[in-house]
Amino acid sequence: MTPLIVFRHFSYRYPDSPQPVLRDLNLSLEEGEFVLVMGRSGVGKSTFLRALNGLVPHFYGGEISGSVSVAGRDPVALGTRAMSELVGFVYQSPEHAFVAERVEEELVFALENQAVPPLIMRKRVEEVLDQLGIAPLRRRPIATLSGGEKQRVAIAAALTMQPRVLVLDEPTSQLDPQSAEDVLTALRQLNEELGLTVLVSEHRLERVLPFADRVIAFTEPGAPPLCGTPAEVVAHVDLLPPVVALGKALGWQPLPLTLKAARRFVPTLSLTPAGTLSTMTPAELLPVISAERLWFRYNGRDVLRNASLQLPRGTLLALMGRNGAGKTTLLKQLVGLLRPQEGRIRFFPPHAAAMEVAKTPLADLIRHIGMVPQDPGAFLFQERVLDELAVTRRNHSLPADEAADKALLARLGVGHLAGQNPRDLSGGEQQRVALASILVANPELLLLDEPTRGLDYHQKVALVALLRTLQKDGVSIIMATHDVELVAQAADAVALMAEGEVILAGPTREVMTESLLFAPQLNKLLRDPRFLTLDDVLGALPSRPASVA
Amino acid sequence: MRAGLHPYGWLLWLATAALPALLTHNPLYLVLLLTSIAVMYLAWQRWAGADASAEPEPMGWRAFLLLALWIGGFSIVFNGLTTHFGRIVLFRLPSAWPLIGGIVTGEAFLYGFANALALVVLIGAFMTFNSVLPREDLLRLLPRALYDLGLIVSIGVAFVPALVQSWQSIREAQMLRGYRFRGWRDYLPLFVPLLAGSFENALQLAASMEGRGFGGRAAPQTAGAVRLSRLAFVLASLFVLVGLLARGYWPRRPAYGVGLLLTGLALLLFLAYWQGRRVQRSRYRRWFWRRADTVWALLAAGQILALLAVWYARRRALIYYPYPPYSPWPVFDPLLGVLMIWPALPALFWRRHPVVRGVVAPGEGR
Repeated sequence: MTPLIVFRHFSYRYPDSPQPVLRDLNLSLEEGEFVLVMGRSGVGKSTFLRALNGLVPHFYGGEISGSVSVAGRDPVALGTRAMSELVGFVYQSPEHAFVAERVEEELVFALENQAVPPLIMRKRVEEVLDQLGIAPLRRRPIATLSGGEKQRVAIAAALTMQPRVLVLDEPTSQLDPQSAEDVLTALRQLNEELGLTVLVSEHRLERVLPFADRVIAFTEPGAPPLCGTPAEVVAHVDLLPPVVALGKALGWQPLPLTLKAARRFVPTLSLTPAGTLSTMTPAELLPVISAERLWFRYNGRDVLRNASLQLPRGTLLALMGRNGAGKTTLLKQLVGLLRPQEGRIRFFPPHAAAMEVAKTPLADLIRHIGMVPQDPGAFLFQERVLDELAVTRRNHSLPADEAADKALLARLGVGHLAGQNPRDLSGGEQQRVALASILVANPELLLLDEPTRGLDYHQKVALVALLRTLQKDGVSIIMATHDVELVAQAADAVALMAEGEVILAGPTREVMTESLLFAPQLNKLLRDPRFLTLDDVLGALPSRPASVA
Repeated sequence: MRAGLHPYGWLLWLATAALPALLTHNPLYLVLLLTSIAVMYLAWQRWAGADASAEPEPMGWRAFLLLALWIGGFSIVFNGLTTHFGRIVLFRLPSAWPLIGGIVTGEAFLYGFANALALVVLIGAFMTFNSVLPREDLLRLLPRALYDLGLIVSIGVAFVPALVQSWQSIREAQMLRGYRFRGWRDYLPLFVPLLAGSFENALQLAASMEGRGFGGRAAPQTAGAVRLSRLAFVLASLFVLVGLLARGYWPRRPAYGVGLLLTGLALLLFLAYWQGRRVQRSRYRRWFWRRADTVWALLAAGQILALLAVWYARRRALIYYPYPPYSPWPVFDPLLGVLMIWPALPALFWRRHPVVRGVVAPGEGR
């Protein structure tokens, strides 16, 4: 069988980069495969995917050598437009890739461009609407869709051209667990039922690994990637979902990639858990911030509906819920950026009287409460990373202290970037610089809005370690996130939001147990609230394995 | 989604609603016109609501009313306080006060009100047109050669709200780190993240469009044809330019200028049509021109011609000027008043043709 996709001695270097991000790449992929592309941020995953439809080098410039072919065609020679019939491409944030105002018009955009006859157009539109389960959305304005719906519309728009290859660059990174599940289920069906070749890059491997036929793991920029079946590749990489990491640590053979495969090993485990069920301490009686019965209406919709939340001092609380549940709005209310139309928020500084948030000027509040918004790019506007910290110091009338700023950056793992332009950094690095530019003012309460967006496993581990250190320094933290595994590792408490209301709040082990969507993988495997993370399980073993991924 | 009329019918509707507001500032006619536009908009909303799968527009009449109030209020107050002329003296401000010092008259407020009303009518007409005819349908009306340009312009316009949203996010982010906005200079550094973010988004949009075959497929052209089209374009542009200049130089012989101008424009239109024939594009929706469209086209043409005839022959019937020596109270001609209710007429057509979708007839090619 002739491979569908072939890379031969393919190398590529971006225009401003001294080193090639892909070097002497040799691999081939068969038609109908479901391929997971994994690796750390900035290692070349997106570049690899962009080479498939000619976006690299046609859109980004740079130097190229070797060859790539998709179904016998050369994307480098033909260009992106000519490859559009063969390769459908879906981006991380589809809202920036939509052309039309309504779903149906978006779907026909490519077909009209390719002069497809109207009768065939109508047939294809009906087909993709059914395939992706979005027929009820056909006349909806795209602006009114949820994140998951938008991503499925983007996939449908790519499928109308009946491409042989569908390429998706981190399609679920901004979605809540249910929306991500919907998108991945749709991809799986397309692959199984239509035989469509799917290449998807994804950081949350536990979602995709179970049904991947092939895994391409990029380890270092310019280094040859590992390519093989999931079982072959996971044996050699350290970016692993918890259940695979557990199997690897305990030497389970064959290495289980799914919960189903891992269940047969569970009876062999002899676990004696230590510690109590609840992680909450008496400190919960002393809140650092308290929001009571908040209502907030925006654009004719109740974004917050009687939402109440209390954060015990020194704890890390994860705020979870579907896209549009009101998490960001609640955070903005807590920091005083928005004022509630009803209800009240009180902040309790450690050695001063309580502050009524709605009645306190923002400038006073942000001396105590720091917030890092979703998009770190909105924060950064200076020439050097160090200058960003200096600006915050100036804003807060704090004395300049470059040595302390450098130490803070080093603590966040970005000390080596102090002299660089913030806009040249990766998403994860920008996130940490934005965090540093808030932490420099020593807030007592830190609010983080989706801090793991676009972070890989290693960056998330580093983030967890950092949050733990901050907690030890007395900082209380509220973190809005969709990342179940991160919450299991880092949070003391979880609050679940739905349609503007905090519907459930409590210790992490209580809230995240026995839930289809919000339970971490190992909890689903062992069905015991004492086991949420790999460390929980390994700590309960009679003899802890020496090496753990 | 498309309501009862053919898109060309909707273009005519826009003309019937906007032209009167350009020709007259008589508040009585303008109030009638605004009511007709509102009737049309409400009828469309009813139609959209009756179609179970259609969603109402996210931004509607409420936003428009807010905008209208703001514009109206500003225009009335500004004109009222800065124009010190008229017989109906309401009060007097100290003459030492710059700009607003002097008599404040009822005529000045009336004139400000009339101007604001004309502007509100125009915005209402365009807003209703934008609601009933989606951007994509409007683009499909363009000659094929102009489609790409039209799409880019429309995306550019659609980018403005996204830009405003980005600006808001950046401003909020900077407020969170204590950045103070005291004067316009404080805003300058924020353009860096705004421009960088917008550029990244624009790049992704461009890549997405390219990745979906944007640009159509153009049939190859011989070198001779390319030379000919370039020459024709230069010639057409020259005609238009000279035509415009000629109108200024020989105002007593306007026929020369108008003749040249029209020749140039006709040549440009022909070029667009000729080049458009090369571009291969297909259309998802096809519209059928029905008898109701013909009736509406005749009615609309009648109103437009009648208004232009009045403008040419009896211009004073349309002009409203409340300052002395004229009366501040507007006159009302019932026949002209009838022409102002024209934009509400398509609502009658919808009763008989509630929902018409473009369906492709069997065997219809591209």
